[in-house]
Amino acid sequence: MRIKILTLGTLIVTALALSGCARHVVAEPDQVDRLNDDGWTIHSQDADAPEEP
Amino acid sequence: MKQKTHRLVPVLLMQSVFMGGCAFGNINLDMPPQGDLPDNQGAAGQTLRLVMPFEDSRAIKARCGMKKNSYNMDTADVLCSQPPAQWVADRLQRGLEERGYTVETVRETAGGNGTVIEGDLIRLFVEPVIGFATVSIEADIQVRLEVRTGEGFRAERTFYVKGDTRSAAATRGTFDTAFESAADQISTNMVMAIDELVDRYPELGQHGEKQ
Repeated sequence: MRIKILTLGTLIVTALALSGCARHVVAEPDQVDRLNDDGWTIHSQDADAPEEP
Repeated sequence: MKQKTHRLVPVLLMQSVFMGGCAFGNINLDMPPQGDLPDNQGAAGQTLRLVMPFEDSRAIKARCGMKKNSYNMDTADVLCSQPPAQWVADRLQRGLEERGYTVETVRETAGGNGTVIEGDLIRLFVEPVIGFATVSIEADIQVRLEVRTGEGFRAERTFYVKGDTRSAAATRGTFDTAFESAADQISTNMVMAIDELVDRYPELGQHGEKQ
């Protein structure tokens, strides 16, 4: 009887864990650098503005 | 038998704390205003026009985060206490003013003289990342800024920051701490990047006259 209850409990917990896992919305920490631009992207500029380094 | 039952009580209590009520109630995220930033002498007399509020391009607009139980299940919402696109624009405005810029806020995005800054809030989300023994609360904020002038200059840059805090359990305080860390990073990064751009292109900020 005790084994049956344990088995049932394990099944319920496993089902909850597998079915209910929420999808991550936040980025993985190692993706942050990739998502963060290193500098400004200049699309157009005045004729007398300095050249890009 | 009675002893065994007594041993089970604390286990059941712990389980009910981690899986129970605290994970199922919505919370409001504390969204602090911009704090002090060091003054930048070079910014004095420079005028920037900031379009308010920012665009809100978040994929999830109904909430600003989620709570989870220990099975990593989405159990409740973390709600923004104010409109996030307005809040992030307010923080940038205050940060630029703290640095010494004169900031004119405008609603219209089209034409006009001066240096115009537009922003787009792409992501703002706080969630617990469940580990084996600890919970890490992670807060991500992503903003794209575009700076342009009537003379045809246009620059853009995307900022992405992550604030996090680790603890044994996800409490309201840990959500606020992680979010505050991300908020401080994003505003400081945006203000410093605008400083860098104005230093590089000194004509920016020199045409502050209104339309």
